[in-house]
Amino acid sequence: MECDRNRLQDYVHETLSADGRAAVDEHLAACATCRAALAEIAERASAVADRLAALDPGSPAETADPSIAFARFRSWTRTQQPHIRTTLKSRIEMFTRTIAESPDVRRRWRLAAIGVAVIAALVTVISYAPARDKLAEFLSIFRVRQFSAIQIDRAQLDKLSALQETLKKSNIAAPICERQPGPPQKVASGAEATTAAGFTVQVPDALPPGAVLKEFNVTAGPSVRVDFDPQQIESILAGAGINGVKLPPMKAGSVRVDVGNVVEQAYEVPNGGKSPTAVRVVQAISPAVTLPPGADPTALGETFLQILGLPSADAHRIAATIDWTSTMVIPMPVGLASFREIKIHGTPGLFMEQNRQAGEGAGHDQPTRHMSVILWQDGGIVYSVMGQNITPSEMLRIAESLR
Amino acid sequence: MTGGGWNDAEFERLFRAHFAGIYRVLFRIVGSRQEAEDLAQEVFLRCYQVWDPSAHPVRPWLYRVAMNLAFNERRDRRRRDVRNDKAGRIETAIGDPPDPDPSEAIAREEEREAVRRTLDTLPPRQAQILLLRHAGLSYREVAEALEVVPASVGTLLARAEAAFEEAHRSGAGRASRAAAAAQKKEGHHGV
Repeated sequence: MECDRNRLQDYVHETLSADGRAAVDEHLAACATCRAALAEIAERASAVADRLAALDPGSPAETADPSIAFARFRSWTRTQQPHIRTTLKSRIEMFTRTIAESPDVRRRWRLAAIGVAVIAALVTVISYAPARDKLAEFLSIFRVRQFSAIQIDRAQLDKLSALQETLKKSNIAAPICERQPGPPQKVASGAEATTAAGFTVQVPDALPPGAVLKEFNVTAGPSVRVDFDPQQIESILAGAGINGVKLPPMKAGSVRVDVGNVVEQAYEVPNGGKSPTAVRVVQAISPAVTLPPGADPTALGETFLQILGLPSADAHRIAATIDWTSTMVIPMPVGLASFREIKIHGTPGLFMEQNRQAGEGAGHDQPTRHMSVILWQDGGIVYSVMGQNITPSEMLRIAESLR
Repeated sequence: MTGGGWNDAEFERLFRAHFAGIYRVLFRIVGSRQEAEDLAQEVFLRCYQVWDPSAHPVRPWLYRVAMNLAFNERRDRRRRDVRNDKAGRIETAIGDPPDPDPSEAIAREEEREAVRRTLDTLPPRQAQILLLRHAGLSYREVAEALEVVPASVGTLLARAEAAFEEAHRSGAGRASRAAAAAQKKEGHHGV
């Protein structure tokens, strides 16, 4: 054999046949030049391997669980069921549940929550990323990675309620349930919930003293489709007194939202039924949203901000600063609720609370309650901790105690 | 779901057999669990829907799709960074994106980013051949993934390794930070 650098390269990468290797070995024994070349090639290959290995996932926070990944995947591909029309009310309830569910929330808080939920349909249209790849243009799939909040005023909230009424009456953009949510399945422990849900379910370690488990169940989430027609939407917005909103040029199409398994735990400190201290923990695979081809999330985001009442110049400027590809923006009615950004074990999240005043002024026939919510996302799972009569620091402690 | 007419158990086997490897190579490129997980979902969804078993062996096909998605993601991120810089930070109620993890892992992350920047300086084909080969693909699989003749893989790989080492040793990864900043100012997007 003659000196051949390519063969030495193959030798280092162990791609030669046994005979090929033997021939190189024989040549190396007799050729000092090739021995030196081999050492150089081997050293280089190993240096490259080391540098690339430094890029490997290291800590558990960087590793992905194939079972969670597959559960997420299956939520896409699950057999679609015949289309069943549901009312807007049930759709609103579905979204409200994850934001402010409580067996007996005050009327005004419920109103605020509905204000949030009404726009949830629009949120889902715009909160997600465009396809990352041209090949995937026919298939735009998005997931929530972070949450942000934006304040809206009362007058706008009233208009949004009017919008809700109009939508309900006209049956426009009514959601179609392509897969009904399953019945809640009761579970006894985190381990049992993990098995039922297909992802690692976490249980809070730090609960208020005396808290008892009232509910622990796993529910298969629905898959919902909303068909929309931009012209109809424009006329409905005008009908609700929301004027001057510019829709980006787009054709009629459908948006799909697929909600995977949802796990809920409810804890309560019994106190004779009057305004108990209660905690509800909801965990779900980050909902998957499919947009029609060609939809521009930034342009839709701008429309969304206009619908929330931002002047068009502000909507334009702010929409450009948001990564609509991964952020779910939650409208917060001014005066009723406030929010701030927090970190849960270093993961960014959103803390929202009902204003004390709003709660206290809502009627004297009921005891005062104070509601708060923490929302965050980690590893493809969306977490929400909802508390009643729990201080913000306690809320954060509960959120951080999930394990 | 019509998809590629998959039997569920069959696809689950395929998913579980290849997920870890695909996730790892994606993580090497994008450096974030979230992004790597999302991209892995897209890789397998694409496989579920459009992979043609009669035309391509699955493993190199999956890696090819992963390469394309991850390289596009990295390019898009650079563009987004440019756009966000231009827009500037505006004081609003809208939350900022999460800060990078301010822990002791910063030094390691800088080293990683230097390696990624070195990869960025190479022609994409060279970077991809390194990533594929060092992900454990055989020459034949690398050839299939990159659509080159198998006999050329050794030579291409040797060239890529030499280019990578030279670029890294000369500090391309570190130097390109300044270059990237300069590029941002000029409004170029890079590839």
